[in-house]
Amino acid sequence: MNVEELKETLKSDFCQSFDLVLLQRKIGELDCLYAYFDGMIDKELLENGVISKLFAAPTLNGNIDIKYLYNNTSSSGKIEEIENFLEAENTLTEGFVVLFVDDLFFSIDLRKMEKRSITEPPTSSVLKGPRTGFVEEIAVNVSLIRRRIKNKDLVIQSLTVGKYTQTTVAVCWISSIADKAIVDSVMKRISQINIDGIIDSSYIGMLIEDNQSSLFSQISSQEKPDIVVAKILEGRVAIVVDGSPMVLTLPYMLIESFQDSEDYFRRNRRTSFVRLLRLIGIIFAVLLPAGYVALQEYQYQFLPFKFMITIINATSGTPFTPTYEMILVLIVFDILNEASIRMPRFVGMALSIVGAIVLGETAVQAGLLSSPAVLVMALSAIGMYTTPTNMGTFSIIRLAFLLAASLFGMLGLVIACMIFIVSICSLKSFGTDFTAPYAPVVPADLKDGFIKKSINDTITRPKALHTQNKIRKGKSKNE
Amino acid sequence: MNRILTTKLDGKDTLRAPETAIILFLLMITFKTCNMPAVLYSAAEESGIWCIIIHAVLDAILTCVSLYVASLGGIQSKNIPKGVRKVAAALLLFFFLFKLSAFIYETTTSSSSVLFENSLIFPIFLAILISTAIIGSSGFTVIGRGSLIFGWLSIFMLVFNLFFVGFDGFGYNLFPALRFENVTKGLIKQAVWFGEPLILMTADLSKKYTKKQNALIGGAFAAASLVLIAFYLLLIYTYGNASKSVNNAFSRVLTMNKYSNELGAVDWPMIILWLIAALIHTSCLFSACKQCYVELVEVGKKGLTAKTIIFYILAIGLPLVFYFTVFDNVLYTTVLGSLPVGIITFALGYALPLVVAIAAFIKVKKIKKEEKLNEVTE
Repeated sequence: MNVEELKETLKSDFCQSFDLVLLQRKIGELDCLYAYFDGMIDKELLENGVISKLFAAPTLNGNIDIKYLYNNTSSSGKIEEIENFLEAENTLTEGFVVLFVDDLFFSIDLRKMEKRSITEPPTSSVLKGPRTGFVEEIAVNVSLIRRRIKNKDLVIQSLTVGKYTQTTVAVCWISSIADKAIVDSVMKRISQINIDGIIDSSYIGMLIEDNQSSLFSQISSQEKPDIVVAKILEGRVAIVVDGSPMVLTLPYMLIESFQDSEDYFRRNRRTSFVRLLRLIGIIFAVLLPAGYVALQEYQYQFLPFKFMITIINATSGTPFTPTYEMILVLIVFDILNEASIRMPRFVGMALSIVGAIVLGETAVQAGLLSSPAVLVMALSAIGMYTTPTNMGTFSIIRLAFLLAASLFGMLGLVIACMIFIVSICSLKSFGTDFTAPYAPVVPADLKDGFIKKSINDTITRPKALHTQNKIRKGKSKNE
Repeated sequence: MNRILTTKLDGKDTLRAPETAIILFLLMITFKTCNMPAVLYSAAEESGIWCIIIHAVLDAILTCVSLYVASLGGIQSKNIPKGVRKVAAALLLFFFLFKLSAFIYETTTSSSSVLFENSLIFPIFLAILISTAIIGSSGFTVIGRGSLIFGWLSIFMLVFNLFFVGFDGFGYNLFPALRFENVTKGLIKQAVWFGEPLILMTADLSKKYTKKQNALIGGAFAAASLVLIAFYLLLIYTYGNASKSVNNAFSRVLTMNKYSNELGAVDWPMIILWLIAALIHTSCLFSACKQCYVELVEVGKKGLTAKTIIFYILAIGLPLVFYFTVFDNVLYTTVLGSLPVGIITFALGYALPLVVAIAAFIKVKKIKKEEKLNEVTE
């Protein structure tokens, strides 16, 4: 195939794509073709480091001198020979420069894509501790992990997923710690994915988790390398996906929702207190609206007498029943929440004012809503923010509990709680019980539960993860 | 999405011996807690405590026997002769259905009385029936683990309540309960609240536990019995004039009534705990029924779910229509237990595990003997 024919074939194969650049040049006496996609390579390096150097290349009996080719381009970018035309086209889509010369194909790695710099993730900011966050570039993300674990046992294996996107997925674990069965299962599940494209790591998460119909995700998603490294050291497996700043870790347990990276950088008593606050916060968030409706509609005798009088005074005159009132407030809150997340910061401020003053206060003053209902909703909303990871899930559960309480009061609420608890108890994440270390009780793992023990007492890795190496801390350096 | 991707990891046995022991301990406490208002009423009467002690001892024996069957793989185990297995499954199913219909009725009427001032009977019944059937379908282990979480919550609740306990102890309250008279009558009357260890026969606990671990599991049940007897004694001792204030036993002992102006009608933590216990109990009975039913109709047949639903409607619905129309008493189970059908059912409950265990024991011994003979001939 001569260069002209090659040009036509490439143009036709890539459907006349405007960003496909085809440069016909000379290597010595031979015609050659450089092909790449605009915006994906370092053009200056191509011109000065490759094309100009190869222009004066000698030929051997009319053929290309491959040794010369390798010697003169390897300083600019890694060069490799490609076996066939189809593979050359695939390499081209990955952002390489493909050189066609003398019926041979070479890939030259001159990739230079615009990327975001490493910054602190906006959703995981901390007062104390590392502030580095992952970016969209897989190589950068993997290096952020590698530079923290300087050990040959850190294994990083890559797979390609997505028929069209050909996304690189890197699976990381420590071979001497992680359970081999879990690693094998992860690799098997990822390799069996048959999908057109992977846009974000959440795709992989949803495709490989055990129970896809559950409200709870059984795979954790992290934005910070320090958290991912800590989890890998515990015996978990991390999945880094090209194009996503979120790294997946698994197996995942519900208790992780109540843990934060900062918990490990401060005194354990303070951490225990904060974790209990988070638990109380989420119980408030989920149960308070439903409890309010149950007590108002059915079991008002449970309320303290003085409190009941206050509530009766506050709610008399409102046109809606407590159930409708609470559903209305809850939906308005969720709409405001959804709108404020996607608003620019300055508009978000205005939205908060509209939500808090215009909607809330005016509705109460106009007698459309009662102030206890707004107060309950506000408390519930604040409680929800204590565990932001599962906010969306708990929001749906809160609504379900509210509906159950509106139908059967406390009985409905208890039934809903039981079904919820039994459903999460039956969840597994890669063979690990979702509700461990509390159900099943794993006494050794309780040290990092709601009550956290000091770092000196954290001698073993989580037993629920079935790690190979169970000890994480010896008494002295030599131990 | 390929189904293979979602299959769970094999070979991860997480139901360890200590966990089994904790779950069984909690379930035993749960089963008895949900009967507490009714049992207390009866226990305060003549010889009440002796009846409870005798039943607790019988329960402990039943536990050992049922655990033996469970350790062989439960009622579906191939270690039990096929004929015995089928008959035992049918009889156990009858036993559990009898209890199930009785407890759904009792939970419905009690909930209606405590929470809804005797209204909404049918919707409450439907809500309890459907929810416990759903929970029951998830199986023994999951229900056990769910009860572990409720166990944690209950501990928090009780610890919180301890700050507000107002004891009103009066040793004289124990006298009628300790008197050893009319024990047989009392035993028959209370039989309906015991016999739950039979549920264990439907569980598959065929793990290779060590002798020490088996002792731990058995010990957990024994501990639960002791805790219960002590708790009953404490309740009767503390609730003042037993015959008058029995209905308020919960609120008098473990709640904060003297702070009701500040904290509300504070017997609600105990009502909720009781409700949770009752629902777990009913769900366990559903789970046991399902295991027996599956053994009878053969697993894997098409339309099993539909058949099971129709079966439940007939088997539970019909007795309940009878209960709702004939009885009008929350504490009706004592009446039911004293009827001939009740006496036969509960006698069956005590005899059945022994028969199954003996049959299984003989078969296991025979299998072992054959294995030894084969080894010798080889």
